[in-house]
Amino acid sequence: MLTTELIKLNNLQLAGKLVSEELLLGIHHSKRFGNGIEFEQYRHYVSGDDPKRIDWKLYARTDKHLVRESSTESNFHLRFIIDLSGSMNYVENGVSRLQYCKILLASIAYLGYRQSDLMSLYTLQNDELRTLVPSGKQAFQRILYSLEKAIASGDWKNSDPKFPVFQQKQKEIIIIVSDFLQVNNEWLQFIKNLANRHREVIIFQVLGKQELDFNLKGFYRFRDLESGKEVELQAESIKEEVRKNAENYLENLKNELQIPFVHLIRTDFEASIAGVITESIRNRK
Amino acid sequence: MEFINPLILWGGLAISIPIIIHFWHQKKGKVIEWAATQWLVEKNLQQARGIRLDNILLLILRCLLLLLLSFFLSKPILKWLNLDKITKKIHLVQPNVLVTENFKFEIDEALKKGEKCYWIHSKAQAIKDLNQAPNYEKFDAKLLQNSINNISQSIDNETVELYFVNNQELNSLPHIFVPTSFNIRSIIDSTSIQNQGFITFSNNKKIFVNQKNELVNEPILNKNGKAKHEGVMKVLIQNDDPSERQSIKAALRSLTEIYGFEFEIDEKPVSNTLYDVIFDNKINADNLNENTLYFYSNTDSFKKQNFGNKRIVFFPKPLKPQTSEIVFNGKLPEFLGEQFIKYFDLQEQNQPLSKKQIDALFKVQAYPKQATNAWFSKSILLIFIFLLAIERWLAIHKNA
Repeated sequence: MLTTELIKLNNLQLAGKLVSEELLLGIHHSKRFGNGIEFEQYRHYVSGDDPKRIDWKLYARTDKHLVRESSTESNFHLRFIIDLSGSMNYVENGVSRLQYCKILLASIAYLGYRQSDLMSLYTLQNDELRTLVPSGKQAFQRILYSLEKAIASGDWKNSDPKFPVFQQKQKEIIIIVSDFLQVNNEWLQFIKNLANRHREVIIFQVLGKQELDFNLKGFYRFRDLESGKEVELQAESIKEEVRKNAENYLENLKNELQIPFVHLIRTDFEASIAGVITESIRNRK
Repeated sequence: MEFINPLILWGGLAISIPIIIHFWHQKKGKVIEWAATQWLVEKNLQQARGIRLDNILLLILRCLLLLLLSFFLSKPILKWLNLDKITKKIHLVQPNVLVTENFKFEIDEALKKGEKCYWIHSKAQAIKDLNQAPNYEKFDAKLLQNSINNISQSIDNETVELYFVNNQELNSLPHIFVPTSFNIRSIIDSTSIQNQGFITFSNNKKIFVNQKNELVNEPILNKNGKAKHEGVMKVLIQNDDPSERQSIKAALRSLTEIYGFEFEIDEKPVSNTLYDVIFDNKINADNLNENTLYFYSNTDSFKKQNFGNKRIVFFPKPLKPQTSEIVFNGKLPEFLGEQFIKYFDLQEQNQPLSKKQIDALFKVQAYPKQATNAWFSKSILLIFIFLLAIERWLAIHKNA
């Protein structure tokens, strides 16, 4: 499905579901039930079940031996980090970077939900990593809700990024969605420190086609989304240099992030979200 | 205030250029929200600022610059500096005793007043003493024109007073141009008109050029003169073509009828006769006489030869109405008459020009003036450079 159509739905849950279903086409697996936070169902006690699992309070009410079942939780913890700096408001062909990223995250979250992974959501704004949704009960719904509410604004400050220490109990994947336009060495160091054998980092760098190709024609007043500074330029005259600058920067970033357990996936607004997720999964293997 | 090139003042309209550019730059670019501003090229941005005319002060400066430039190029002349010179005169005197004696009073007066006086001389000397005339030069129109040109640099609204002897030599140029208004004080040298040339025919008839510059045939010559020819003019016509002979004869006959020329026409050379005029259509270069006027026709058909100082008139074509324009238009008698006047030197060179002729000869034509007040244009240029420096400084440092 096209990104523009997904945006028109104006429903992250549906959009995420549609995208992930595109991914899971033909994949069916039986549900596994067991201990977990998320309540799934009650069923009658059959011999062989652990008597511990009988819900005695319910027995008192209904005089039936019922076993409380939850879907098993995987040992994965998905941490979503969404960049909410002003540059995320960049719009191209009616698709804003933020919308694209929201749908991307929602789709991955849906996948995680289907696998009963633990999920949490963090936002990156003014160089501060804030926990928006901690992992726990109904994390998926709360993530979707928070994503829908998220508004991007403020600067990407490169000095002294503040991050909470991620406590690591099990295997986890950190998914960062950003434009990564102004990443400095401190950032790169931070990412390098973050990644280890038990913690993978997947970075989705979402860029506009024009940002890469700079196929603009005419006289433009470029207003910076973060600082609001305006620059008037003849687009054709600087095309070559802008392209070169972009290429150099991106090449450099790619080289810097060529480290184990870090995956950089660059995408533009026109790429289908499902395709991007597939690519990321394939990259991990 | 006067301008040498007032048309360049139209260049002042060029101030519209910076104004148009100003408004052109007011035009805002299409606003585009941009995230990757760090990749936009800063260097280009600087350059674009350099020619921007956002600043009103800069705009005014630039307009001023253009106005000054056009003003400077139109070469203004400060007129008020020269107001006192209007009534002044410049005296140009021919170094001739006759002239200086005749106009002694006027020239002395001028010298006393301190007005500019010059000799009409190739060196354009100023007159200090009327008795110290420069060495003699042949006075003619060319010399007069040259000396007027020489003093023209210093002429500025002054009346030119010309003192000279009026004679035919002045007529050698079609016009003599004087830069400003002028007065002519000419004198006729009556002593040199003594030797009036004339031709005497029978009955004491004299043909001469009178005071009105006309050829007349009168018995009395009211001036002393010298006979250039006496008696019948002997003419030999040797042309082969009978129609040529006929047209020549007809021309001579008409001269006889109108002016009373007397001709004795032979068609075959008679031995021991010295002819005054010979017509022929073949050149016999060896056998030319010094005292004979030759008319050769059909000269196109033979080669040019050197005839020395002899009096020869050539007609390129045969003298027939079919081939010669002069004959066809009936101008041959007139032409022959002019040749006779020239040959016998009947026209007096010292013959004065009539007033009408002099009026027609002298013309007023203003010379291109030189900016005498150079300091004025220099100061304009200085202001221009100064403003340019301020403009550049503002544009580069303040507005960048």
